[in-house]
Amino acid sequence: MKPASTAWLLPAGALACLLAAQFMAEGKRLPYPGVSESRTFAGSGMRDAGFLAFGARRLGADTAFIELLQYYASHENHDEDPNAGFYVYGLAPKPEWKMEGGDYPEFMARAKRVLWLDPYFRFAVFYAAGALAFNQNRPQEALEILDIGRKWLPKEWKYDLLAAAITYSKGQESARQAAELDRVIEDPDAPDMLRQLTAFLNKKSGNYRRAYEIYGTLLDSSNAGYAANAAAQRKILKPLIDKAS
Amino acid sequence: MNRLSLASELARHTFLEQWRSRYFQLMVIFGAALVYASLLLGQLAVEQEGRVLFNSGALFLELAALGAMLLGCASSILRDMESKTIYLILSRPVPRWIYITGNYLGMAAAVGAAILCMGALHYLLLAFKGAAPSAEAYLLVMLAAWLKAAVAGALAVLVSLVSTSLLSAVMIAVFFWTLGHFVPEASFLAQRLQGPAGWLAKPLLWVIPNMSLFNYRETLDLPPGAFPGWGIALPYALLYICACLLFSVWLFRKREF
Repeated sequence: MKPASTAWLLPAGALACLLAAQFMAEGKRLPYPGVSESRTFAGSGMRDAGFLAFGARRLGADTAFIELLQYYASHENHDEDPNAGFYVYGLAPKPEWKMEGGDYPEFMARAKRVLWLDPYFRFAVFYAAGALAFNQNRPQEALEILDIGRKWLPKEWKYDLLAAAITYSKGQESARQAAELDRVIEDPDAPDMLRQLTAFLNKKSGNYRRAYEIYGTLLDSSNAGYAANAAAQRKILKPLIDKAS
Repeated sequence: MNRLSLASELARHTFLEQWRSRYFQLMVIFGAALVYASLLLGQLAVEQEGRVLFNSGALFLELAALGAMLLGCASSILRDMESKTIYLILSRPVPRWIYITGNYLGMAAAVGAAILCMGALHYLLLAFKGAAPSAEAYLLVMLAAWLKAAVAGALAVLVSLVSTSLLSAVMIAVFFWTLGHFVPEASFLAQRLQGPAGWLAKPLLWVIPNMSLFNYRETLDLPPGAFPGWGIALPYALLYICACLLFSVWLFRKREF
């Protein structure tokens, strides 16, 4: 009889351990948006679910952000040429891409997807809000992005500064806008796009020395375009600073 | 030989066996290659290269460790049974619980060593790119990855004793590992379910391991207090592993060879 009575101790002990473990973990979760608040973009649902299943929201947000960058870097009219598939290699006429502005109607939805996956992705908040407000002239949507960021990081005061700069941009107040942005770009997570804009606004409002300094930080930018522009701007600004002093 | 030294001898044997196993070596090399390949993904993110390198490398490291642990844990007993090695072991005065525990501890130690190797490579890459977190934070990321693998491995040992093949055992363990990342969502849905579906769903939730407790790498940039804490993660892992191993010992004791 003895072995039979002790045999049940093992499953009983196992069950007790299991219940104790699950009781301890009851209600514990990481503070991320729930699945019900999903902001998946067309065709991205399965991919996002895959990242969630692997417990890799941050990497999912990174991938979504890379897709956003690729979308934003694509030319708005890249599919307008009806003969695109019929050119002999090397003989296609040089395309006339629209390089400035652009509507990018999916930008907001894509940015929201990034922030649903990782609302603590500060660089993405700065980048999306900056691109919407200053490049695409969509300040209301930019403020909406900042609101999403603020909901998850309410103590992030640099979101407030960027919001203020966006508000000043409506009134064409370059100096005040530059002053607010100057404090935003102190953040290591601030994108080079905002640094470039701050330098430009400082130059526009006559603050050449500060513009020169900011362009100096852009010389090492991973974006070759920003680095080249910074070098060119510094050459223009140097005599202006010398002249002023 | 007392029971502790028996268990440690078995664990040492499993550890060495794993490190000599081609599957294990392949898994570690593959994991290291993936960690290195995350450099490519980082390039795409331009200004956020460091973040992408950290996130992708940490995930690849975790997946490689999981693969090695699941394959090892699910195959070790089955292989011993197929090769008849188990007769040699159990015909000696080795209690069955020591066989299970020793095997498992050896596997966990081998995977821990593999995580350290892959993690060292990853950390070097991060440091080279100037994006390395503090050594303490990175050690905790590796500890969390090891705990996840250890929990999934204990589950794989249990499943391998009730399953008919290695593949099904691994698949079931992977299924539970995946579900483990959806525990809060599954709990929310279970609360909404009515009738028999609800009665079935709720007990299932008590079986699924809550893997989000070990997602330390997802909380590095979050405000303080976002991570549930090691005071919960460590005892949780220990209790869950104990539960799986106790069930495994119980099932293994009933087996006839």
